[in-house]
Amino acid sequence: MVGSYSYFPGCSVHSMVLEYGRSGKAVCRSLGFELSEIPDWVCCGATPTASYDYEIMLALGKKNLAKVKAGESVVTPCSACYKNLKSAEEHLKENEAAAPRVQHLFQMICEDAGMDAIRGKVTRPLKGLKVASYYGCLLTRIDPSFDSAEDPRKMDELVTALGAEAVPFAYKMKCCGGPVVLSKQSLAVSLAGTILKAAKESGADAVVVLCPMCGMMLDLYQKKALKGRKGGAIPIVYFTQLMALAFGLKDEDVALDMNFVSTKPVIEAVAGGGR
Amino acid sequence: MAEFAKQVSAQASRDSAWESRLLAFKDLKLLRRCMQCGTCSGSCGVAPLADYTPRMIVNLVARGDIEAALKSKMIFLCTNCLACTTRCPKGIPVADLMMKLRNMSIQAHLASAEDDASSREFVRTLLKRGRIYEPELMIRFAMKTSPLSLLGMRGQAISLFQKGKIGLPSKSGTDLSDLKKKFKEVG
Repeated sequence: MVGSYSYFPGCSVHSMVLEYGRSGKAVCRSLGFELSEIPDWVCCGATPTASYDYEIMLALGKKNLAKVKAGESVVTPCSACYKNLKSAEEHLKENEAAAPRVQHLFQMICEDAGMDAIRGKVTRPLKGLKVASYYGCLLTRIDPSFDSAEDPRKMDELVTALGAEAVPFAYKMKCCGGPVVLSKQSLAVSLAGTILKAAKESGADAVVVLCPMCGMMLDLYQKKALKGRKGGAIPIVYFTQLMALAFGLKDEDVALDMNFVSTKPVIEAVAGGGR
Repeated sequence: MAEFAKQVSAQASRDSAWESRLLAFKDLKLLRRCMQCGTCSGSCGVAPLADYTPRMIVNLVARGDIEAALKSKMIFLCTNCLACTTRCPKGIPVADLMMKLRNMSIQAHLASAEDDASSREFVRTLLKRGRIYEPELMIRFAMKTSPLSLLGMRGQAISLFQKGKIGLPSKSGTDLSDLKKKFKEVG
């Protein structure tokens, strides 16, 4: 059931991944979701804060959740924010306190709107586009009731519902290295490189992601990650951008000019409409 | 065989509640369930680079050899991807153990400059405005580790600037004085 939700954007959506925030808001509007940003939200702490002191990370989460009415849902587009807020939610519940329900944006769209509603909004099927779905390591491990923790398929279903071709991709849950990009940059970059290499070998035109950390590793760091490897780049797009494109929304809401690696191959594949 | 497998996984999912995950380290009984099967190490994306694999870390701590675990490379290689915790047939929250060891190592100032600064400076930057301002974080991190490393980031910085993604920092009005106090105390 589509409804109104509190929205926790997280730090990335306002800076590094403007395209995700923009396309996400437009797609939600299109589907009838009402998202109201939590006033004065604070950073969830991501992995570094939890590494420093787990209790501080929980405290940040509790401050954020305190601004949301119990029983209401709070939705976030980032898997790291989702993990931390979910930890805070569970911690509150285990201590007999009321807590709102934390959902990932991708989860909210799949569960509360559903594939039929999404198909209904498609005015420009993405025929001709081959997409590898990259789920990232966290989402389905935190909530395996939403999709398999070993072999998730919901993103592939979305890709198909949008008219594109979902390409099988074995590296769909391999960690991108985002959490250690500061302290262990070369390790993180090499993890991203492994995923990108597999994506290119899968025959996909693009990789679709659902987390700003993953997007950052595969997109912003792609040049570093693919250094010394043969072959060209592969576009990285957020699932909300593909949705916005298929829904026929305005160019600035699809925001394909904001991704770091050129998304021209995506636009060309869709324009080509099936080869 | 199928019945036994069902029982083991039912037990694991019962005990995999977040409560037991949070208390993981305080409850050595949970760690002593480990049968050293190596599923965690086999699932771990960074184990090939580790001095002690996840399996070995669990063994060290279960036996009480905390010091060796705290000084290992593994606890800071861990990206918290949860593959180990998801697959452990005994429901041991291995990733949470790594997290707890990281907390202890950083707070005891045992970690390397990079491992320490990446966490400590993140929290410092966060507490300033309640949100992360990446340019500030990168500079603080570089100053504590290797200032010249900023040069290596110029490619990314240029890309961000060209896409209009470096703006002014945003601020949250939420009171963080209790956490600033804790940050000072923890050190």
